[in-house]
Amino acid sequence: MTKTSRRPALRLLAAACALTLPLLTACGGDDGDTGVADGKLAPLSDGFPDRPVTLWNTFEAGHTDDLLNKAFADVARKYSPVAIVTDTRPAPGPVSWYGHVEFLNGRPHAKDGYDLYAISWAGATVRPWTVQQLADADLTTLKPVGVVEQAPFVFAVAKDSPYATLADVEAAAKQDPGKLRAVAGETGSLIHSTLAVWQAANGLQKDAIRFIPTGGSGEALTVMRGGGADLAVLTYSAGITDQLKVLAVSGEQPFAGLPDVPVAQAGGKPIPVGSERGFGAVPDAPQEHLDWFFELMRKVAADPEFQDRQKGFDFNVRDAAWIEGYRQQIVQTVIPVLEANGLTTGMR
Amino acid sequence: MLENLPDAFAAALHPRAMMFIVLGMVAGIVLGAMPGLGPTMGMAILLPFVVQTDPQYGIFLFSAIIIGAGFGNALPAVFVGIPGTPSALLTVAAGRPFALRGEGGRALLVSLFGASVGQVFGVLAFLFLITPLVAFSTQFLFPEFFALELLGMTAAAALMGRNPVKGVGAMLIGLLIALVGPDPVTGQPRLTFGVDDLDQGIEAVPALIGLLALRELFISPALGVGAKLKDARRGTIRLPRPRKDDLIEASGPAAVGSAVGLVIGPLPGAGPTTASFISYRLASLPRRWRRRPEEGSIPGIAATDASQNACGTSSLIPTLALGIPGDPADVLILAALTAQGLIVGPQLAQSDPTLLPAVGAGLLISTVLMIVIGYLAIWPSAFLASAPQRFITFVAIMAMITGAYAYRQSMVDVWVCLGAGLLGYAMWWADLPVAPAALALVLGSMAESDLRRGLILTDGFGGFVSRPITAAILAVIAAILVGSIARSVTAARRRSV
Repeated sequence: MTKTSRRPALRLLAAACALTLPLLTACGGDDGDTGVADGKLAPLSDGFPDRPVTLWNTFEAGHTDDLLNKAFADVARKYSPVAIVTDTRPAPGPVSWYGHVEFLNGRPHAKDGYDLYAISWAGATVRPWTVQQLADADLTTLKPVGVVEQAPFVFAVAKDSPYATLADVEAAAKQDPGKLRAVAGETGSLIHSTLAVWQAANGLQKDAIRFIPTGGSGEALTVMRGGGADLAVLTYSAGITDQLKVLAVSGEQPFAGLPDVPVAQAGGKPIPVGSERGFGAVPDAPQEHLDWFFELMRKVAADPEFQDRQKGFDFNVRDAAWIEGYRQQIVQTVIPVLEANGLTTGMR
Repeated sequence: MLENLPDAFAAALHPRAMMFIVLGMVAGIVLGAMPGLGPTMGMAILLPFVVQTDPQYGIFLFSAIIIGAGFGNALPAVFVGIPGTPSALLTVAAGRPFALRGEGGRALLVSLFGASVGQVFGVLAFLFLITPLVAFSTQFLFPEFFALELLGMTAAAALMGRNPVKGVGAMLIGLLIALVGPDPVTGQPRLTFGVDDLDQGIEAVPALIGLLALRELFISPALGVGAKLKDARRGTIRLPRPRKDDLIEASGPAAVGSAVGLVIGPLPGAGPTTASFISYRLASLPRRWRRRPEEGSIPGIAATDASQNACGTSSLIPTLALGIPGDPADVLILAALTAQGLIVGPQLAQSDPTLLPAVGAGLLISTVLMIVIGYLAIWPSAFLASAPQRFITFVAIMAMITGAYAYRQSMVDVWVCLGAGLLGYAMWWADLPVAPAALALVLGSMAESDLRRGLILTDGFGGFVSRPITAAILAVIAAILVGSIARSVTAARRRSV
């Protein structure tokens, strides 16, 4: 290579630097929140944390877990003595969080609690029953740290639908089995399981409502708007009431974002599932380190900046003990219905 | 919306806004040119920065990335024979022959022209047709998607070469690969032969990188591509000048491609790949737009690139007007706006009346910048492509393997890429065309899924085919197929006479 032929490469490099630096300046220039020194958590007596804590997203970039990690990490700068950083490493397919445990175990500091992953605890509880590869997983495979935000699943119909309550939908399905169509995520997903639990507990046969699998809430909304389905079960999002008529929400109590909408009843009981999202760790992580992080979660969840970033969620922080009880409840109430409806792999 | 346009342009021309647009454009072109990366990954990385700034600037940055990637993916497609993203697959078929004879810059200028026309159509639709396009898009459900995908797959007829039997055979290979993985309705794995890593199917992107790009490198020594490029270097290294004849020739196909992109863009899940295949097929129908594969095709480049870009911009319509993202990149736009407290959907125009006009203005300015920066990007690309063949091969293989791995950070995808490369080499050895296989790989699983779900939705085949739009598209497909068969029979008769 001659000297002259190297120049364009150098120019390119210089141009890239010149273009990148102003972006960083522009984005971070006016926030002025480099840290509130007196509000920061003190490290533990063993020195934890003395290096950055990494929050992992085990799905594709832009997934709900990824957005939680990024919002959490940004706000946690105010309260953590070390940087909270985020990273994405998608696990193949539905093994998601479980497929990540092996990877995290290989990280040098994961067993000290420096590597955590965002996780939806209801989904993580159901998957070992619905995903073949997870037949060997159990409730100890993932160690809970806590829940930081929650949103229910909503049962919704089109704005001009004749149904005013979920009981109306139930009655119509009983009157003319197989006529109504529903969208509720992919086959065997937690959202689909919610629909199945509601159907089964209210005496509706599996085929009483024609289930159309959809890839996500966007696709489900499209089908609803096009009149392709009569009922949708979706993850709550702000603004959904502008597009659909929400009849009920999952969970054990009314959702703050929809205070007037009743809780869905399955055989007279609520359906204890929804998006209860928080963080998990590898099983060997020291509890005191995870407790430190849990304190950080409490501070971040109460921060208005975090609540603005994660608009649409409730911010009730739950600890590991609550998660254990929640998971047991799902195993006792949801799994039997899935098994009865042939929605499990039958490998457990 | 239109009454706010002057203020919107003033906002988009603010120096800080311009900086976001320029940065987005450069990042988009670079990301689009890197196989396996693409705009979504870059946007995800930038999301934490974007949520800290003004919502308008965030959309400017993200939409500029999408627009830049819409042209950037053509750079490696033309110069190296590797599509930067799957939607540039046919840019390889139509544009690569130009680079092999030292006219890569000419092909890229046509690509840039097509992309610009597509952008302008997309922005005008965004500004003037947002309401009817939203209403129209709700008419498309699974049966209509299936019909569109089938229409895209008829593009294979244009790619099969002189031996339709081999073309069909190649397409079946692609379909077989596409069918591996979960059944679209029951979710149960199939055709996995007990290999757990195949339970979720074979990802199209790494497979395409292998099937098209790696194969290209495997066979290039046998084809003497290095020598051809060496001869061609003198032609490509100069910054090319637009040719009036090329632009005139590209105008019609670019308009057709733009129209297709406008229709496909607002349909969630359909995407620029489907749009580019349909456009390429339509651009090969009129006799005056047809070209022999070894010549390359100005109309083909213009149609595919216009459709991709019109599609990318018009997919913003349901994202912003309904809160329904058209593709993964739009999900990140939605996430950025939601994180800033905006409730995206029908009420957005009321809650923030300045946002949508500002987006429109930003898109138009991005289009102008794409022409300038895209033009300037041709020369460095040509410069890189003019490096010694061994160096290019080494860098390309590293980039492909890195891209295949980066897609999901999975070694399985690297093996898929390498396996697909060997399959592509074997197909070349057996004289089987690879493009129909790639096309079936991309559209096959989508078409199957939409067919199966559509049949549930309509409760049978009768209801499926009697939906007006589905029936109309199926009729177009039938007409294309009958026309193709008639042409083949006529040609065969002429040869026998």
